[in-house]
Amino acid sequence: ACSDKEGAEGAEGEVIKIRMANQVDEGNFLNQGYVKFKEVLEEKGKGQFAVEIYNGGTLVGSDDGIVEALKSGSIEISTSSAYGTANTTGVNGFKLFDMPLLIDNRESFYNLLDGEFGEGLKEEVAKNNNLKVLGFIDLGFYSILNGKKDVSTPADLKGLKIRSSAADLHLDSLAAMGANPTPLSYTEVFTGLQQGAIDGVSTTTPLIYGDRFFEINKHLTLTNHVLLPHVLMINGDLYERLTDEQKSILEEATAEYIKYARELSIEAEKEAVEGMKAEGVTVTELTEDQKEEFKKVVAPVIDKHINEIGKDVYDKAIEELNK
Amino acid sequence: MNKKKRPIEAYLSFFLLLSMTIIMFIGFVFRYVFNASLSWSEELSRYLFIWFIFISMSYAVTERAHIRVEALNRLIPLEIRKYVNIFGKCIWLVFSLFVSYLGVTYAMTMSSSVSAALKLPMSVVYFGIPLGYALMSVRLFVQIIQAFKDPYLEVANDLAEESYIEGEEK
Amino acid sequence: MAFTLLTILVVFLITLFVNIPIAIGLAISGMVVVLMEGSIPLSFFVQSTFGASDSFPLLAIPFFILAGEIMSTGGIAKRLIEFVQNLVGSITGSLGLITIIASFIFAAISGSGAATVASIGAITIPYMLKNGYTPAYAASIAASSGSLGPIIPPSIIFILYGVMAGVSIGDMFIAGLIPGVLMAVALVTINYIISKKEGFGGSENFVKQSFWKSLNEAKWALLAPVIILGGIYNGWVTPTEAAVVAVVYSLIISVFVYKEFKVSELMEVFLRAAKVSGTIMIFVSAASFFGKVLALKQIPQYIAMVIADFTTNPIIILILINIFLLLVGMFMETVAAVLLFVPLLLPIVLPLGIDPIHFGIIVSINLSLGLITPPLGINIFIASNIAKIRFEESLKYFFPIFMSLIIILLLVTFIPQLSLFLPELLSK
Ligand code: NA
Ligand code: NA
Repeated sequence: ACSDKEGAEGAEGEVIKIRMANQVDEGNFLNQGYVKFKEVLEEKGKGQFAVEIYNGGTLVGSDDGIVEALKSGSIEISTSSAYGTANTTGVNGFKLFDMPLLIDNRESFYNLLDGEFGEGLKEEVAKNNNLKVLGFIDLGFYSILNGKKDVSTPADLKGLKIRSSAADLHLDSLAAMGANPTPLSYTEVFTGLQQGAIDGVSTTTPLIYGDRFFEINKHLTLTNHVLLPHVLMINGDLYERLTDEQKSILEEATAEYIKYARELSIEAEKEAVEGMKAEGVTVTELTEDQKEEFKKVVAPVIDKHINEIGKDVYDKAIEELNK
Repeated sequence: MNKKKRPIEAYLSFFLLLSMTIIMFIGFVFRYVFNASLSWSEELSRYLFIWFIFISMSYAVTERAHIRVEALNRLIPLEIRKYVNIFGKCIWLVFSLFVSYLGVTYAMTMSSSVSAALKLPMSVVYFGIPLGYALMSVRLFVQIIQAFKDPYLEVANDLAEESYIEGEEK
Repeated sequence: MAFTLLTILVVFLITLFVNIPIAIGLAISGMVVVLMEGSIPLSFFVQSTFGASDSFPLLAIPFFILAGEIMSTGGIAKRLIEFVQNLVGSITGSLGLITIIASFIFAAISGSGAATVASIGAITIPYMLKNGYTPAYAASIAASSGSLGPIIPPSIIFILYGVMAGVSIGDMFIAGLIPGVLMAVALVTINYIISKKEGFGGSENFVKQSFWKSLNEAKWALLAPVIILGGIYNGWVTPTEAAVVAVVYSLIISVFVYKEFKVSELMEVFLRAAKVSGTIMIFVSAASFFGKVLALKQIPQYIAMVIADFTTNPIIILILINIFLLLVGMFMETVAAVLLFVPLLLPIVLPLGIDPIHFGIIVSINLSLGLITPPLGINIFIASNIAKIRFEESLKYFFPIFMSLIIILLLVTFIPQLSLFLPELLSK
């Protein structure tokens, strides 16, 4: 209602309203990153941008939903998991990041995403979707928490019912790692652990810490079997409407946000692990040999799912990772 | 048993609810008896549920079962109320047609997405929404036509209750 | 802000006025705001409809409704009553007592209040009438016993609340147990007082069996709540799985053991469940869309702010919320009220440090009292229909029964441990 003229002149003079949505609590580091993005963009934009954040799933309740809402313009800018992005954009390359034990460290992970491979994903998203990928952050490495024993080999996981998402790749990975994967809705996890419906849970350390699963289970293994990427995207129509000046402001703000968000993730992991140690959780870090053992057992899972990603895409990623 | 004629929604709802029960139970048996989780049973029953919701929504229209707040409506004198209610049903029909249209266009934009476990096209899953609303539009349209012939149909429930109470007083 | 709020209210009231169902009225009101706002695409309606419906925990709802339908059709409800009858014999008010206890047990397998009255009341009300109970009292005690339905787990409104508040449905189920027992105790007490005063006794034309014989008859029926609740509490099953197991179990018992359920009845029973689920679930999706439109316009925060300006004393706020919900319950159906008001109330109470599970129990008791308050009290409608009296006549005993339950509501409101003790105990 406040725009006077649109079209050829672009969005000049108009305040660009940007809605962002996530599903986490206000204090979660993902949301803190959003707040930073809002501050930086509004400050750099000098009144050209107004950002509203809807956290806690008040607007959109799932990763897939966030991408759908971005496409249609119900929201303007947000992040969604690589998995959710793959499901909703048809770009299967994103599923690479659900492959177990593929990523050893953040450095090679971001080399991959910020490099040629990431560019390829960005182009593919833009080709068939009303979306533009602005950049990549992560929400931390997956670990396995359980209530029975210290785990450092696949054999130790034998017979443990570990909660997983219902995605077949996640189920297959946990099964290959020796566990008995059990799909359960996330809100039931705490009660499930309490009552022994499940023996443990596989998710990021900040979530294990934040949702206090460690109060029940005391054995944490930093398996680091998946590093969970989040993709920052903007609605395609909106992006096209921005003036060149606005685009470069957005680019600057994005760069600052991404640097900040990546640091936040590392800090959140550190805080989670140290916090849990202080609460009496035994934290097992895998030796190189133990890690190799896990890699060996999940190899068939990678082979099984390789066609979902595309063999060529997978090979290209491996090549870049090994550089 | 009286063989009353049932609308198509009745058969569809029955079939969907029965399938959900069977699939969920199989999933349950596999997990607890054979200790092996089926990855597809949860997803399939969730998606059948979506179709079930919107088809049984239309079925509930044929049974005039949707939840209303009657207190406000009953403030209107009966003779006027019957026409007011036909008018209300027309608004409802317009809305329902509108959502059918929105739903079809939206479902078509989903053609590139597939579901996680079963690789079902998501447009098929989403299509349950406009299908339910379209069936509901048909039911509403028929009820409106009937009400034009006999406006008392739209206040039949109120009448039944009032005459029942009068009957008791005699 | 105020203008949007006013528009929503006016549009919503108009839709109610012209007899449009509440769910559709909500969707239309939300849609009007979206059209006025201009920056939200209309497809947002489809997105949030899908998002709200695509939920595994909500799948429990049609199954719990279906299980209740099968149990009342297939002889399970009947055997529960016969068993309880043998248990309490012919003391003062024993038929009222039977109604309360049988409803209590049936509530542990059924998810709703209406189902409980319809199943138990249909059998015990005619029985009470035959034995000299006034129709008004028979209807009142059956209707109010039915208000145990949503408090004793499993409960459809606990499921809805858990999904909305993001708390474990299993925890909600456990938390409802003590408050439910307290409500039953209140009903038993008031039943004794009234029966003594009015001279209501037991049944005269009832052939008493031995305890063991009646237990043997009813064992499969009594096992149903044990399986459902035991399965959930022991962590064997999620609430959704428990609901499916309940359906399959009750089908097997009704068809093969009691042999009171003909396969030809199957479709009829499924369709009754489909009809109810359809109306509830369409409400869920419309209310979710409506709630998101409110969130987009920051209306819950606005209301929370207005209240916070007025008072931040948790006791006063809880009392106000209780009064508000009791008023809502007078006019509105339970599911509708939960879906409409929980998203508005949670942002008010959570910052005060009130536990979301405790608050869920408070909300549920308030709204289940709404089942027996005029002018819209679905349990009274059903019960007075069975007793063949007018709605107003059944209100004669309303006040003392209602007050006894209000005492429990106040206890539960101000002693959080009544709700939280069991969930905390089980987490040890
Ligand atoms: Na119940
Ligand atoms: Na009421």
